[in-house]
Amino acid sequence: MYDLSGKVAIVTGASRPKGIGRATALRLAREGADVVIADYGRPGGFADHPDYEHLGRSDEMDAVVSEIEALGRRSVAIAVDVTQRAEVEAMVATTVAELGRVDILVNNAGVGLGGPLIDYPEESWDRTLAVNAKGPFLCAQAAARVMIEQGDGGRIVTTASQAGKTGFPNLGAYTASKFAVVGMTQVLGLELAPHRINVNCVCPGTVDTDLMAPGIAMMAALHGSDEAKARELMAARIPLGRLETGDDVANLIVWLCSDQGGYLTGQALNVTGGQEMH
Amino acid sequence: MSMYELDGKVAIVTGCAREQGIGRATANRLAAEGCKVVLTDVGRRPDLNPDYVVGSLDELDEAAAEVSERGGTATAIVADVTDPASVQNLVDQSVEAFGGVDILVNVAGVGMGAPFLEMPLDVWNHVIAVNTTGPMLCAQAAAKQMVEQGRGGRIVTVASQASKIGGTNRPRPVDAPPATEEELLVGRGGGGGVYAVSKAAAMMLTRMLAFELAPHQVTVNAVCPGFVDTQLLMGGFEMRAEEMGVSMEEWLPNFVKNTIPLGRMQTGDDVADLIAFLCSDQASYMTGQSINTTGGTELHSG
Repeated sequence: MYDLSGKVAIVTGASRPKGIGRATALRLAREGADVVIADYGRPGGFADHPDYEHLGRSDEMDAVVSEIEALGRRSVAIAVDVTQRAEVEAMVATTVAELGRVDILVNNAGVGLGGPLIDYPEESWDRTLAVNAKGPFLCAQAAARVMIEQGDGGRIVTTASQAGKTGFPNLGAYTASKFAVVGMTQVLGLELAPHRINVNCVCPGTVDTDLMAPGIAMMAALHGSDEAKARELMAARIPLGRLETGDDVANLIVWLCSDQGGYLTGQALNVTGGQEMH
Repeated sequence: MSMYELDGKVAIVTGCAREQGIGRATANRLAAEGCKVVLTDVGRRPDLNPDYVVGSLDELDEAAAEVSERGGTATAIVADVTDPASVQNLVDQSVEAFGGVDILVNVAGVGMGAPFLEMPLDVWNHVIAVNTTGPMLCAQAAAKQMVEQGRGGRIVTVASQASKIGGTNRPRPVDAPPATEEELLVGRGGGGGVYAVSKAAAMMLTRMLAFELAPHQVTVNAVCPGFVDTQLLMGGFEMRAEEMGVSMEEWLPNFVKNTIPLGRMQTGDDVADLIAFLCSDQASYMTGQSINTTGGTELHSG
C-alpha cells in the first residue's frame, strides 16, 4: 500500500500477541520496512511491581521476529527497558549496527496500573510515568539524534490514548502519562520540523489487548456477567459499535509513517470508533 | 496510483473547479483510487459580491476532463450547496450516473470576511451558508442515500485550522478609519472572523453527524488544512504583502519560513492524501475527527 522499502523501524512494546505493537511491526514489514522488535524481554516483572504480568517476553519477541522474516524483511529482537537511558541508547546503536539506520520510531511500550488516585501508591505513579512518558522521551531523543545525522528526515509516532485527551477514573497515572506524551509530541514536532522529522501520536480507544483485560473483568464483575457479555456492553458504548483491534491502530500509525502523512506533525490523532472527538 | 482499492465506489466532491484547489486534487486522487467521481461547483459568483471569484463552469468542465484524461471516471454536475433542491438534484443525478453514493467530500467554501464592528449581515449569512449549511445539506442528502444503500459510507468535510484557533486575519488597527463599503465588499477591511466561525461549526457538525451516522457505518470526519497554495488563499496573501508595501516574491518566503514549521506551503495534494486515507478502509475505526494537516502550524486536536 505504501512504500517503506529500505526504511528501518524500531517498535517498542512490539511482542504481545494481541498488541498494537505487534500489529504495527507486522504492518510496517508488509509495507517493506525492516523492523526492530523491542520489548522488555526478561523474566519477572518490574522491581517495584514484581507481579506485573503484561510485559513482552523474549519468546514472544522471537516469534514476531520470525513472522517478519517470513515476510522477507529483516528483523532483530532487542530487549530494552525504555526507562533506562543506557539501554535505550544501546537499542538504537544495535539497530544501526545490525540494520544500518533508523527511519521510524514507534513508541508503543506502555503500562497500565489502575486504582483511584486517593490511595494510589507513589511507586505505581513513578512506574507509570517512567514507562509511558519518560520512555518515549528517551527513545525519541536517541532515535532522533541518528535521524538528524542521517539527514533525510524521519518519523516518530507514539501510542498515546484517548486517556491523553480526557481523564478516566481509576486511571489517574495512566491519564497523566498520556497527557504528557501528547504535550511532548507537540513540542518535539515543532523542534524537529526543521530536520523533516514528523512527530505525531495516536490515541486509541478501547483496544481488546491484554492491557484491557482488567477493564473487561471489572465490567463483568459490575454487571454480574461473563467476559463475552462485558465485551458486548463495552462495544455498545462505542459509536461504531465494536471493540478496537491492534490493526485498527496500526492502520493509522503506518499511514503516519508513510509519505502520505508527510504534512502532519505535532498531532494527536484519535482512533477510537468515535469515543473521543477532542 | 491506487493504494486503497476504492474500485467502483461513487464519490461526490464539491468545490472542484479551481485549478490549484483541494477539491480538484481530491477528485483526481479519488479517481486514481478507482472511484467514479462526481465533480461539483457552483459556477456563479455570489450576488452580494460580484468581484468574488469562484470556479467557473468552464473550469469545472476542465477539471472533469482532467480526471478523465488521467484514466478516471468522472462527470461534472453544477450545484449550489446552499440550495436544498440543487443539492438533492446533485445526489439524484449522481445516483443516476453511477448507481449510488459511497463518499461525499465537502470542499466548497468561501473566504470572505469583514471587521466584526462593520460586518454586513449578508456577508455573515453567505459565509455560513456556503461553509456550514452547505456541508450540512450535502451530508443530509448523501447520507440518506448511503443509509438506504446499507453498505456504509464516508463523509469528509474540509474545515480549516481556523476551526481550532480562530481568526486568521489581522484586526483592523485602532487608528485606522472605518472600512469603506468598497473595502468591505472585497474583504479588505481586516477581521474576517466569520470564516473561523463557519469552519468551527463545520467541525461540530462533523462530530454530531458522526454520532448519528455511526450505527449505519457511515464515518464522518473533517480535515483542517493550514496554508494551502490555492487561489483562495493567495488572494488574501497578496493583500497582506501589498499592505506591508513589499512584493509577494519577498513576502511569501519570509512568511513560510517564520510561520510553517515544516517549511513549505501546503499543496492540494497534501490535503487529498489525508482525505483519501479517511475515505478508505484503513480509517474504518475513525469517526468524528477534525484532523489538522498543517505542517505543524496548528496543534489543537479539537
